[in-house]
Amino acid sequence: MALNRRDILSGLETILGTVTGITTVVRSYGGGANVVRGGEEGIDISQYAEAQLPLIDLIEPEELNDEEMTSRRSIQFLDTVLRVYFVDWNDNVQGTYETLVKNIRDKVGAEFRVNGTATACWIVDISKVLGEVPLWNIEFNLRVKYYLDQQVT
Amino acid sequence: MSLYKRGTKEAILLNIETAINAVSGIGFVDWQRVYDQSITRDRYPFMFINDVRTDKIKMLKDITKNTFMVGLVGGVWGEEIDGVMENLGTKLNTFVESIKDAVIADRSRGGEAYTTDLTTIETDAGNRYPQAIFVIMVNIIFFSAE
Repeated sequence: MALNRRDILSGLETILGTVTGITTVVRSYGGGANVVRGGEEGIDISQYAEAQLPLIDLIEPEELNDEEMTSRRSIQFLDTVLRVYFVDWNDNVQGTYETLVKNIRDKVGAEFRVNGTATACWIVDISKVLGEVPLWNIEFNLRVKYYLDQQVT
Repeated sequence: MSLYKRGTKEAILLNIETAINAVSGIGFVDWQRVYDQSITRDRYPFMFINDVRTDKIKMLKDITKNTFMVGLVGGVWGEEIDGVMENLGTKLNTFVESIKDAVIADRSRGGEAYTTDLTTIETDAGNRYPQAIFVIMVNIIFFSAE
């Protein structure tokens, strides 16, 4: 089966939408009205309401070529960031953090091949809690590996 | 830190007024005044509650963080008791302490604010004897829908 970036990201979006406790999944690109202008990439979270959180911002990944293979095939990596926003009115959000991290880790682990669209997918690292009361976020660095068939399919 | 949802400036100011009105011996409380002219001697000690400044940061579509600065201006009048002037500094300090305690007794402002902090307390240099004036700046963080 030919693997490709479009199906992987679409599959990832669907899978992340089934994570327990996650309300919204949004894909963000390099531009557009929904993205912070002049700032870092990702959505402008102030355009979303509290009821839409916890929210995963699936930031358009960087694509890396790892190894050229025979027959125009190559190993590709997609390196993306999942930025997870959540609201917690406590100033100690360790419990919420741990629950979200566990749920996302479990889901990515269970869907290791992104529903058959990729060869492998794993979380490289997870940030500490960022933000302030009541809006917090966590960043997951996610790597997807797949074989790209460069022939026209 | 207690849990907190949304608040309004008006409710917070009313909460401060209620707290100050409960201070023992308070003579007069008013809003948005800086000068004590026209306040008669019998209405000392007085307090003015001034809405100074609000800074807003939109965090979510329906959550805005407000940093609300309130200036409390107060004054006491030293009295002559049995032919001896009372110590104005002591009287001022005692009154400031009472106001300070009243304001920070409930930092959540009845559930309207996230927190309340006293940032500065300043007094006059004594050149208005037998009156003494002070200013307490109060920094309140609350969240609102807009």
